[in-house]
Amino acid sequence: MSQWTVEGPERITIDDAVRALHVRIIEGRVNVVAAEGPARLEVTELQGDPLHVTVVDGVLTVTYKDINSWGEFGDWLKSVGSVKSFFGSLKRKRVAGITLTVPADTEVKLGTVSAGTTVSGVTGHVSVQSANGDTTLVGLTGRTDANTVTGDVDAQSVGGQLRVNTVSGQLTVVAGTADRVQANAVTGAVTLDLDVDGEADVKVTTVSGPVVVRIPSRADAKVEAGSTSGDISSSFEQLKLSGSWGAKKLSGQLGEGRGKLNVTTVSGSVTVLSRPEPEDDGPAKELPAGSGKPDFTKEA
Amino acid sequence: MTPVFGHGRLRLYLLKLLDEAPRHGYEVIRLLEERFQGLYAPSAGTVYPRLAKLEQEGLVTHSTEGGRKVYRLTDAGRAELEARQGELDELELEIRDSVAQLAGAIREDVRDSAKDLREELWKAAKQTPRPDRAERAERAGDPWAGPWGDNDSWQRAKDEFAEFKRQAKDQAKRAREQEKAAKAKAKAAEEEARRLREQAKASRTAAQQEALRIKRRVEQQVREHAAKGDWPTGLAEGLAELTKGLSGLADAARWGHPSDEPAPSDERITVTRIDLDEDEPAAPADLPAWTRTDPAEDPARELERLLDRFRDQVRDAARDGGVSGDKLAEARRVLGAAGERLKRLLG
Repeated sequence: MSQWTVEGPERITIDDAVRALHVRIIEGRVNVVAAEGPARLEVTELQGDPLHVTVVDGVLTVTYKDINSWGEFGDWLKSVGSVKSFFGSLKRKRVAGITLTVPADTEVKLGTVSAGTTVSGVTGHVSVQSANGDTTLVGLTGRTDANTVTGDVDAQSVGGQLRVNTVSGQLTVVAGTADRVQANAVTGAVTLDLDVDGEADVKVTTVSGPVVVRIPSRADAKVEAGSTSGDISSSFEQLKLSGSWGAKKLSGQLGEGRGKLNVTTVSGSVTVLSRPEPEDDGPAKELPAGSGKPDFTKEA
Repeated sequence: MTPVFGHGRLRLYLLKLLDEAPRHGYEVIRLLEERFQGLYAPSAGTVYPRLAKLEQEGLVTHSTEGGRKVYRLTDAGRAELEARQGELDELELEIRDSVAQLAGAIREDVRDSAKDLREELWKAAKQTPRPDRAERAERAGDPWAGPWGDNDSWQRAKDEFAEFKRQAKDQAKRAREQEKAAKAKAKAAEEEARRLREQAKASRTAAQQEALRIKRRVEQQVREHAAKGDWPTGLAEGLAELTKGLSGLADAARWGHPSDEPAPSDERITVTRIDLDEDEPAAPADLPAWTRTDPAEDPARELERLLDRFRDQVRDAARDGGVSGDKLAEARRVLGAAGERLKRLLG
C-alpha cells in the first residue's frame, strides 16, 4: 500500500500495479487517459483541502479524506445532513484539477459534484457519476455507465455497452459503435449517432427530452418509437406512423430486424434518421469509428 | 502543434526508450505515439535517420533479427543518458503536462464534434418529413417546439380535440338512437306476442263454441231420430255429422287467422283441402273410401267405376239392412236429387 497527501500541483508516478481507479472530488476537472507504462497522477490545480491518494490492492483512489467510501459519498449526496455539509464545503471551496494516466484495461470509477470528467481510451468498465459536471467519453470499448443530474454527456467513438442516465443534461453520442446503448433522460435532449455494423440494442427513454437517433441506412433492427404528445418523424420509408390523436407510434423493421431500437418519450419529439453512406460523409465531423484517437491536427 | 520535442530532445527520448529494452524501429514509433496519445506521432522518415545518426555516434548498436533491425543502447549511450538525466526528467514532466493538455484538447474536440453533430442532426430532423402526414411537413420534426409549443400547434391540437369530441358525441347520439329503436322494437314484439296470444285464445274459444254447437246439433238429431224410434239411422247420421263437424274444426286454416279469411264454411274447407292435395287427392275425411277416384285415369271411365261402386255399396247396404217403404222413399228422394245435381254438373 502506498499513500500520498497532495497539497498543491504535483506529479506522482505510481509504481504499484493499478487495476482500478477511483476518483471522488467536488469541483474542478478529472481527466483519465489510457496509456502504457506506470500509472501517473498529475495535479494541476488544487484549492482547499489536500487530496488523499492511496493504492490498496491495485486500487488507486484519489479523494478527500472525509469522502473515503462510495457509501459515504452517496450519503453525502443524499441525506439531509449532506446538504449542510454541502453548503459547508461550498464555503471552503474544494477545487482540484487532476489528470491520471492509467493502463487501458483499468476499471475506472469517477464521482464528482460539479467537476467535469474526461475519460479516453479505456477498455475496462468505466463508471461516471456527476451532479452538474460535464462528462466526455472518448474511445471507450468496455462497459460504460454515466449518471448525471444537470451535466451533459458527450461520447465519441464509444463502443461496447453504453448506459447513460441524466435528468436535465443532454446526451450526445458521436460515431458510436456501442452495440448496446441505453439512455434515460428526463428533460435532457438525446442525440445518438450510431455506426454499428452488426445488430445493436438501443433503448432511449425520456420524459420531455427530444430524441434524434441516426443509424446506418443499412441498419438491421426492429424499430419502435413512441411519443405520447410529441412529434415523430423519420427518414426511413420502411417505418410507418400510427396513432392520430394523442400517442403516436413509429414502427417497422429494417433489414432482417435482428437488432432493436426502442424510443419512448412522453412529450418529447422523436426523429429517426439514416446515416449517410460512408463515401458522402462530408459535413459531419467524424472520426474513423473505433480508433478512439481524436484528431489533433487543429491543435496548432 | 506545440513542439513536444525541442532541439535534441527526441534524440534523448529515443535513448530512454532503448534503455528500457532493445527495440526495432517500428516499435519505437508505436511507443512514441502511444506515450503521447497521438499528440505526437513521429514518422518513419523522422525516426530512422535519428537512429542511424545515434548509431554513427556510437550510442546505439543494432543486430538483425528476423529481417528487422533491433536497436540497443551501448555503454556510451547509457553514459550519455545518465549525463542528461536532469534534462530527461524535465522532458518527462513536460510530457505529463502534455497529457493534461491532451485531455483538455480531447474534451474540446469531442465537445465541438458533439455540438456539430447536434446542429446537423437537429437540422436534419427539422427537414425530415413525417411519415403519412403531408399536411404537417412544414413543421415536421421540429424537436424544440413541443406539441404545445406555439399557437399553431396549440390550435391544431385544439381542432383535433374538438373533432374528437364531436365524433364522440355523434357516436353517443347514434348509440342512444339505436337504443331507442331497439326499445321500440321490443315493445312492438311484445304487442305482437300479446295479439297472437289473444288470437289463440279467441280461436280456442271459437273452436270450443263450434264444437259445442256441433255437439248440440248432433244431440238434437240423435234425439229426433230416437224420438221417431229410428235410432240406428239417427246414430249413424249423428256420428257422420259429428265426424264432419270435427274434421272441419281440425282444419288449422279455418282457425289460424280468422281476420285474414272469409267466414268458414263446409264448402270452403273442401275446396281448401283439394287445393292442398297435389298428386293423389286423398279422399276427404267426410267421404267414404269407395268414392276414391284415380286422377291419372280417364275421368269418364272413372265416373263409370264410381257409379258401379256406388251401386254395389247401396245394394250391399240394402241387403244387409233390409228395405222398408220409408227407406225406399228416402232413397228415391236422395237419388233423385243427386241425379238431378249430377246431370246439372255434367250436362
